[in-house]
Amino acid sequence: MKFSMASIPNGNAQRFIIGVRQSMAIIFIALLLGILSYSFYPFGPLPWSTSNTNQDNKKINPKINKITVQDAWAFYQRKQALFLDARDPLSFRGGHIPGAMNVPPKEVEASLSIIRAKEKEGLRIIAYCDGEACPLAAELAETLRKKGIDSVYVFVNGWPLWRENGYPLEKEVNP
Amino acid sequence: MSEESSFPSQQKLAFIFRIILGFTFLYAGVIKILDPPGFAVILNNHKLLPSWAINPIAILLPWLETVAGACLLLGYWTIGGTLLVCVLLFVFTVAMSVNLIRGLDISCGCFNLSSRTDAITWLHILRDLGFLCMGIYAFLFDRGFCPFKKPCMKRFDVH
Repeated sequence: MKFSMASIPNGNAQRFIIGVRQSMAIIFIALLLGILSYSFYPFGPLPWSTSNTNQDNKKINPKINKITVQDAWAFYQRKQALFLDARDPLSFRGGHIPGAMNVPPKEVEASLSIIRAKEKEGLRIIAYCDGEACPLAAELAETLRKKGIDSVYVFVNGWPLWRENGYPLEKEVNP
Repeated sequence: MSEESSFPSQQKLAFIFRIILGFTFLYAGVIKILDPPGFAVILNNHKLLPSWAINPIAILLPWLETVAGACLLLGYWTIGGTLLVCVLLFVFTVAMSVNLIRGLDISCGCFNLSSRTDAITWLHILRDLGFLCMGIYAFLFDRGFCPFKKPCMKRFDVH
């Protein structure tokens, strides 16, 4: 079988220039496909649309209460809260509020019975994540509210604020 | 033996590297296209991008990987495809190295968007450096062999 070999420039500089032009074409096609696919994306807008705190707070369902770092600390000291860390497990292992449970929004079902039991004991359920624009805590709180957990709060920008105030934290040692 | 009928071992190796990279990037791109929010979470965990950039990159980067991978496999724009793949691999390597030095316990998100995968290690970086070497070799020595003869005639339309 004969191979079809096009005449390819041997000079690397010329090859690089051709490569840049072809790369631009590939990037343009990827951009078009990306915009097209997002237009038909069935799951709604993606998170992290902005770093504006006011806009992020508006996205939280008004039926869900937000709490400040001072309130979160007060509830922690009086042992009146169950903290739910909405981040991924690896981030959770790197550090979290002592006693917090790791509950990413998509994995609520596994922890629902424990959360319900804690709510019945009178504990406030406080969801937090990492960053002003992080939507995971609000998403978790909304999911819990829809499942009948009324006493749920969102601790906006919880993890950074907790650390900045020098409050205790817990890390998990790798097995 | 004429140049047209010979396939030097250098070019054979470059072709093999190109195909490996093509499958790798096609696979990596497709799994991210299927779960944009999951990829956005991974990007946020890397703590290297401003918040406003996370969504656009979560949408664009997977398609970039997919289209580049497809080009490498089909033999279209292979010079541009390998160049793009090399740039992406360089960026990924630098990003993972920075986070490893910072001590962030995060997952790579390269081929698996699950939050329960292992954290980044120096092995991930060595792997990407290996891919980068393959990409550079393919960029320099691949001659764009393509089994589809007719489309290959047009594969250097962009000059």
